[in-house]
Amino acid sequence: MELEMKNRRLGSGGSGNGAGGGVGGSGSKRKFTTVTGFLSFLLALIALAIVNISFLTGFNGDGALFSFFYISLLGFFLGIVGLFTKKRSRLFAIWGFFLNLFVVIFPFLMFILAYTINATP
Amino acid sequence: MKENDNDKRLNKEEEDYQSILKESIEEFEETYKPSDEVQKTIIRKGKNQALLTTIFISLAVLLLIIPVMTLLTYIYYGGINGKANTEIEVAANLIYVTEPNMHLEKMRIEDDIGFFSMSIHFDVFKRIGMEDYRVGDYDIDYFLDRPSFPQRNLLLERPPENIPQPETEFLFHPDAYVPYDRGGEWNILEGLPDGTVSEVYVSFTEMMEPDEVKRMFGRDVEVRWLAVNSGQEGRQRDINGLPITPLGYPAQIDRTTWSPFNGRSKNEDVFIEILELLHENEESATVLARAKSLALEERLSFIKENGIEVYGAVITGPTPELREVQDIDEVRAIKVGEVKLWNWK
Repeated sequence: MELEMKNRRLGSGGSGNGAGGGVGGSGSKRKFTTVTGFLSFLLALIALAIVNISFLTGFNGDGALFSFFYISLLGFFLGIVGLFTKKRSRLFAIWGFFLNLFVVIFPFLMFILAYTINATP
Repeated sequence: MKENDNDKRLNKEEEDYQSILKESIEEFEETYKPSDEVQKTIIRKGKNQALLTTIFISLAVLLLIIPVMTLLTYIYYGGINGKANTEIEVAANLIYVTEPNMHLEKMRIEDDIGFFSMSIHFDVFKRIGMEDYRVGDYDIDYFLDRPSFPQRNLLLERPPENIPQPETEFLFHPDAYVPYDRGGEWNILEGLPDGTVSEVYVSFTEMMEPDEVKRMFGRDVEVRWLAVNSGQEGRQRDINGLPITPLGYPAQIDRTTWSPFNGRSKNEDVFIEILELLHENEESATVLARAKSLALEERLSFIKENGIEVYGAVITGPTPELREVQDIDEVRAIKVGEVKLWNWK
């Protein structure tokens, strides 16, 4: 038992700065989100805000309505990069990925469904 | 002796263990335990980060509400067998079979989809003489598949009553009482200038075949709409005593794009098909129709059983030609509808 305790003590003491520091370092990194993931999430919020504004105000002129599509497309790819970033929190990358995916497919779904309602040539 | 030795050894081990444990804790605290200031900073940063994450995610959820609700609404109304198309079909076809000589351009029906609601707008037309005149429009709002009472804006000289009663109708079954002075209507027709075209509602003395009706009038009179006997027009009320309005169909082929009476099938067959559609959606159809009872169960079975028997018609043509209708024995009563300047070619 004494040997075991000594070994443990020696083991932890010996690698205290190495492994412990490693773990500590990994933990401190993991609490920060990925930059690309966070950017992806921010772009998704901007795209969603534009979608909301265009729905609430009816404003869709000058291509403003479609700017959300390009923003979310960029956000979507940033989200993918964020998902593959290691040793960082991927929370925002996951949110960014799915939100941008929704915003990218949203106009296509709307177009298809709207076309089926009272379709006129 | 041996037991004492064993006890001592165990106590020594226990003391060693406690001492190592104490040393480890002290060493850990010396090495890793951050100062109070650092601890506070860590907690503050953690709180801020958690707050920021919560705010961002809440914002995302809030921003998703409108697009998701809109998408769900379109999924509900859209699709191949979407509710919107059925409701539009019911509203449009109802006009053809319940409003005499009235039609619409199905291609120009406007729809507006909101959150789980829809509104449609369309213009209605009447053929008077040889031209189609816009005689008003309809606005109908829906919540899901439930329509509200339609807003009718009819620009007619003699508009039909919004809440119909037997005495305010224009077409009468041979068994029904004609509540107005029949001579007065002929006088109106006599008093109209020769250079006009008119629309006249004609009620017959007996049931007739659709082809007989078409042959009965001269070449310069066009039969526009045929009122079909559905077994309840004699009483002008349904079995519950609610007033009913005529059911009928256009006598001519309608070349308007997407009109159900465009000649692909016989108008009589299309009429039955429309009644079946209305019967399937009778709740909506009853709200949209002027009459608060369509009684389609009984009326549709009667028509299917007895075939198409016509008791009245809407005709149009030059006013002088329409005056000659007075000489036809089968004509029981007329009601003059709309009058327009000469357009007969």
